[in-house]
Amino acid sequence: MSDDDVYEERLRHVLHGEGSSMDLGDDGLGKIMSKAHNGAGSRRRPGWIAPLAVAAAAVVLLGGVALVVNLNNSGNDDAIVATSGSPTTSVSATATESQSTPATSTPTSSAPSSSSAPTVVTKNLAVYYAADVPGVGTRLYREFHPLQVEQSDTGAPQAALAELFGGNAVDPDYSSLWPSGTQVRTLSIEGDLATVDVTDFPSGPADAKKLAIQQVVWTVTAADPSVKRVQVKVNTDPPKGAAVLGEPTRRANALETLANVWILAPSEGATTTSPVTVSVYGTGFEGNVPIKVFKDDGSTQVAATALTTQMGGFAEARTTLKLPAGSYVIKAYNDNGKDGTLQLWDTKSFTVN
Amino acid sequence: MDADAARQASTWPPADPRTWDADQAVTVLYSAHYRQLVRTSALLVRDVATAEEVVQEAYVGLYRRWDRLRDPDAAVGYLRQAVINGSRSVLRRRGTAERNAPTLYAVPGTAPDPATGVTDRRAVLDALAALPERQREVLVLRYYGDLSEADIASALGVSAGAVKSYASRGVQALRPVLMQGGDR
Repeated sequence: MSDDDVYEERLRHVLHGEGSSMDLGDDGLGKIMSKAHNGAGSRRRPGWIAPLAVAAAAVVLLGGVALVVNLNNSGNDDAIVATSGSPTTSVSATATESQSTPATSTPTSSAPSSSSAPTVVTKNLAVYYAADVPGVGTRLYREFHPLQVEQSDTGAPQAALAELFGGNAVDPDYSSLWPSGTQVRTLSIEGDLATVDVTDFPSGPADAKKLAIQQVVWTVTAADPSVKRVQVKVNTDPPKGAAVLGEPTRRANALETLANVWILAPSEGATTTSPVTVSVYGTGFEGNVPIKVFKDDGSTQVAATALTTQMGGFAEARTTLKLPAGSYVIKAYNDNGKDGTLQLWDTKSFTVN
Repeated sequence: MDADAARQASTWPPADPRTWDADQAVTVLYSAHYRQLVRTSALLVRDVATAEEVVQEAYVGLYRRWDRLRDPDAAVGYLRQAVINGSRSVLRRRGTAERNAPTLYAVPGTAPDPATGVTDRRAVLDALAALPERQREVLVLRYYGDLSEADIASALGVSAGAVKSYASRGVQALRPVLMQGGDR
């Protein structure tokens, strides 16, 4: 035996000794099957949603540091400054974000009166839309929409679903996975289970149908946090396709269902003044969310920074950017923690006056 | 459902894997490879419960891909890649600080071993944890998994030559702790 053989043999012995000393849990197969049948988000790209209109595969991460300032201003004396102050990291637990932005309500009456029409209030409710992310697949993105909500047990989820089916996302890159014209027939809540009977159901591959159901699950559970499971019916029958589609469904794993980053501010089409508040919601390797700002022709990068959200969970982070008047596109990314390759997650167009 | 019914059938699993549905494929490959994969992942992430989650996710991924794979060998290849990638993600999420100060497992079954004392084993595992990612993965797949260079190369997405070089550098780096082992 050579020296090396001896060392290799010792290493083998240690690893096998350690391996055989491990106690594995019971019922791994049951857990796998339960997750498999409940289907998390798809990694496949159905290709029937407008892709985020963007170029950009590999862009080198600037320095790889958390708060990077890059001035790409080629001598223009309208200084473009990325003031990357310490980000406010409002940590909310993984995927429970929607409850963290309390609905702003303006009740017009609080009278629990007898037979009068139900009171209507305006609430900002989360609606989840889908977008096809090049290199990743279809993911859900959240927007808050101000909606008229009847004050009843099911008022908030009713209003949010009506918006999901009948309204439009503010960001043109986002869309609903549901056929336009879909309506809610009935919605009932018992305990933590909401049952939603709708008039139409998406066609397409099973993964796309599951994601469409997740769109409803995330929207309903955000509107009413006491709901944990949603069962979808189509004209009182289970949806056509896999049997699992008709079962009560929980929120699937956030990292595999939601976009890993979306831009909260500036909002799509916003007109604002400098300094511009930039705010993102997401997660990333070491919480890192690189941000780049381009002139609206997409050709010239005018600023770059990075925000620190949360690793392994989702959080909001913000900073401000000084920009001269003009029209811009802001893009938010993840890096993979490995080779500086950036994954684009979201873009917004905005104007600085 | 299908899988339970299928498990009870006497002709199960059907001889031709191409006719298996995803439930059958996952069930067969679970019995054949689950424990080994969990232990492999646990040697990388140093926590059995976390390793189980990583491996379960890999099987869920297999479930979704079975229609495209339809081949047990390709499926095992997929599982290995998914377990390696999942284990890497765990270590990255955990962050550098914790990785460099490894916590000792609280694994109940870590009884003293007459040939290699627990202390020696820990020292080796700590040194292993401090190696660069790919060296650590190659050593675990080679000396625990007993995989061929070709299989390791495919699990890691590197060349066979690179596997050889990671293995040799890894063993070299562990020599000091392996020397102290002194058993046999």
